Parts: sequence; structure tokens; C-alpha cells
Amino acid sequence: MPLSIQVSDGSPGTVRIALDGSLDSETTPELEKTLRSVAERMPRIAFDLQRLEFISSAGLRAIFATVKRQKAHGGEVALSNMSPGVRKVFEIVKALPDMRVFSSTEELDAYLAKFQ
Amino acid sequence: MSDARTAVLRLQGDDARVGDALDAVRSFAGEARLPPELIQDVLVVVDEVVANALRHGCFQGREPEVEIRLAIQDGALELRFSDNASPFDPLSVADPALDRPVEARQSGGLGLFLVRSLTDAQRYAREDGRNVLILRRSITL
Repeated sequence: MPLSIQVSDGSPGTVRIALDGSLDSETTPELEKTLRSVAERMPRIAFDLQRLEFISSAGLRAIFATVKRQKAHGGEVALSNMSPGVRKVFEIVKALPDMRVFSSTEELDAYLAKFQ
Repeated sequence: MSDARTAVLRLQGDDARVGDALDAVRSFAGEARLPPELIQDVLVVVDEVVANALRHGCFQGREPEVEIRLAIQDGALELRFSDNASPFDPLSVADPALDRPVEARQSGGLGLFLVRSLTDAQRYAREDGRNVLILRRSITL
């Protein structure tokens, strides 16, 4: 199962990255490449996971590396629309407290609107 | 080759793809009508074990080869992985420090922690010059 990545500018200082498909050992390098090209010192990176069907530890590591880079310059990482299966993997490794998590796009939009 | 109860998959060579293993397991699990949540868990496990073997295994000039056997029996899914890399017991890897924030953690051990968390029984053996990892996960329908 492939991974498709869609990058769009959100509100000022935010880049949105929508993931569709499977974020696994095979496909995660594509996301890492995208992150290197778009995310240089951006205050907020928001991952829209609505269409993400699967995440493995490789995908987790890519997102955790993003959290680390973001926090190093005072930025943050937001996740929205996680399916129960994807959420479960984040929960097992106790990662959700370190990110901003939104259950819907509307919630995420409301948060990002504060930075307009 | 597979029916609804058993399947064997072999990945060979330097261009072996983890994605092929995931697609084969998706197909097997779908045919066997395993619950979607269990399929997700099993895919996390397969991704980790196969990627570990292919990417970090030490094959010392041998062509890499990983075999995956899936069997449904006695209300459980058994996953048997074997590879021809140098001896390595993945169950010996220490758990990551999950009490620390994500940005302060070392990256190692995360996937194998998930493997242990998502299966009910784990056993490693070195047999006939191969690493053999047998994992069981009960099927609750």
C-alpha cells in the first residue's frame, strides 16, 4: 500500500501535511524527504491523518524526529483526525502528551486561527 | 502459497521490500477474515521484524533471506520469522525510556517494544544457523 503526501500552507507559520495510505518502513523515507524540504524552522507543523490507514515504528520515528526538531527552536507539532488504529500505536509508546492532538479538522482550524 | 489458515512468504536479495511482506500479510489476513484491529497490530509487528532483519541484519556476504510463516490455530495467529543473518535476539533489546518526553528519547528499541506489546507470547531461538522468532497473538472475534 503506497503513501501519498500532500503539503499545503495553513495559516501563517503553519505547514499542513496530509498523509494518505500506509506510513511504514517502505514509505517513511518519502515523508522524511518531504519534511526536509518544507519544514525548515516553521513554527507549526500539522499532520492531517484522516486518510492514514497504518503507521509502523518507522513512521513514529519520523514524527518524533520532527517533534524534536520543532521543540529545539520553540516550534510544535500537531496531529489531527487519527483513526483508532493509528492512535493506539501512539498511545502504546506514550507519545500523545508531547504533541497537540485534535480530533477533527475543525478543532485544528480553530487552534490555528489564533495565529492569523 | 496460502490458504485461509496458513501462508509462507520468502523475501530474498538486496532489493527485498518490506512493503511486499506487508501487502502479503494484508492479503492473508483479509482472506482469513481476521478482525481489522488485529490486522493493524500484526502489520506493525511484521514491519518491525522484517525491516530489522533486512536493514540491520549482518549477512556477511550471504544473500539476505527472510521467511515469514503465518498460521491460524487454536484461536491464535502464530507468526514465525526466520532469517539467515548473524545471531541476533530481538527480545534481548531493552525497552525504551517511555517516561521521558518524545524529544528526549533515544530512537532505539521503540519498534521492538511495540512487537512485545502487540503480541501475547514471544520466543527466540537460533536454529540451523538461522534466527527464528516465534510470536503468538490470540484472536478475539
